[in-house]
Amino acid sequence: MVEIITLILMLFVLSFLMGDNPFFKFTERLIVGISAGYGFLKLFDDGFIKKFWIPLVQEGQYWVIIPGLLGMMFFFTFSKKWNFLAKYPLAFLLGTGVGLEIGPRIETSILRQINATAVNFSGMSAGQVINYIIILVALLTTMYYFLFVLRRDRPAEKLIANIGIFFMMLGFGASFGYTIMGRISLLIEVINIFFEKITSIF
Amino acid sequence: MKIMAPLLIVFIGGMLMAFQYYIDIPLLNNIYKGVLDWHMVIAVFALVIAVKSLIERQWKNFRQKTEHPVYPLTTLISFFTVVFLGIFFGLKQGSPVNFIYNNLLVPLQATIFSLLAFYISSAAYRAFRAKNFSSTVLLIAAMIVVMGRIPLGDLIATWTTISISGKDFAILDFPGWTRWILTVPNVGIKRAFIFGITLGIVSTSLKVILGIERGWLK
Repeated sequence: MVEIITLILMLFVLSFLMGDNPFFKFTERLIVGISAGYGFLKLFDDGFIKKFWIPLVQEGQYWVIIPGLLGMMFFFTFSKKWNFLAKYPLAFLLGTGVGLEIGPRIETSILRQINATAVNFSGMSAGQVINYIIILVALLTTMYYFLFVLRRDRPAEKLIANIGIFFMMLGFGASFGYTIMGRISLLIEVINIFFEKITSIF
Repeated sequence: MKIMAPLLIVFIGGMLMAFQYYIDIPLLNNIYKGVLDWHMVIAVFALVIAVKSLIERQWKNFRQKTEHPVYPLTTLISFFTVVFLGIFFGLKQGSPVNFIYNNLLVPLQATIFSLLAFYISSAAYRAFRAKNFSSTVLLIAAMIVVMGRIPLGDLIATWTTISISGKDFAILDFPGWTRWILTVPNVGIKRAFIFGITLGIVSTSLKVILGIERGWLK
């Protein structure tokens, strides 16, 4: 029974290829409702039950009342007079959230990337050295292209920016091709699921 | 007070969390672990507001008939059904919610994403035109990657393999070219973008912590 329902709903979703229609809209709303319900339950279980209720009631960790009260301050959104208090939990989430981002971001996205680019060529084969030089040239020329404060009047400057464009086009093309293949793989997978369900019904 | 207190919370919280990454003090490490748990607890209450907003919006659509009443009703009924089933039977393996998740949500979400295959193919048809040098490079790179990731690409590489002084060499080695494009020039440009994005994120984070960026207070 469930197989039939899923199959019909999958057909409803695919019907969007012929244009927006009531069958697709119905399935879309169904997915929204189920996703929202599942997301709510998951966060309620992971956040409220495991991080608030169990520590408070079973483990006697009364300090968890603080984030509970802070979270409840969100409900002041509905009061016109005390509306400003709803900004306090938001400030906590925002402040600590951005603070948590800075260190790991600098470490992984800047320092480690520089470390991986500025390598020692000793002991490497000629092919590896050429590859690392290409990575370096692609990196520097792409960055140069985005330095809009620099004037690009001279032929040499234009050439560097054009090399940057060449590498970007190469990368964009590759990424686009990769994405196309990813989506096609997903479509093939969905078609497989579709036929599996048909064979399980009949 | 209305503005200064949230700004102070942002400043203290942001500075503490930024410094705890670099300073190894047990107290700061404990605060860090606590903050991660606090985020989860506070987020639940924010979610309650989101759910209220969803329900209100759907109910309004239903009452005012801005669209066919079946659509908002579908959202509301499916939402409450999942929530009640979850409350009474839990989320564990074999529960009704888990069954709905595996048999309805996963295949339907996959089907929605698979629709993108048709639209991305249509976009590719329009984008992949050799109008000038840049678009030709884009086209060639995409074609190589597409060929390199299908079984035909492997077959072509096998068919065009020749032996030069005992070493096998594929003339049309699409899988090898794909690997090279993705791991050499693509890595270079990705690093350039990562640098730009990270500097943007870090500078915006510092603006928030220092109270320069206050858009969230409005």
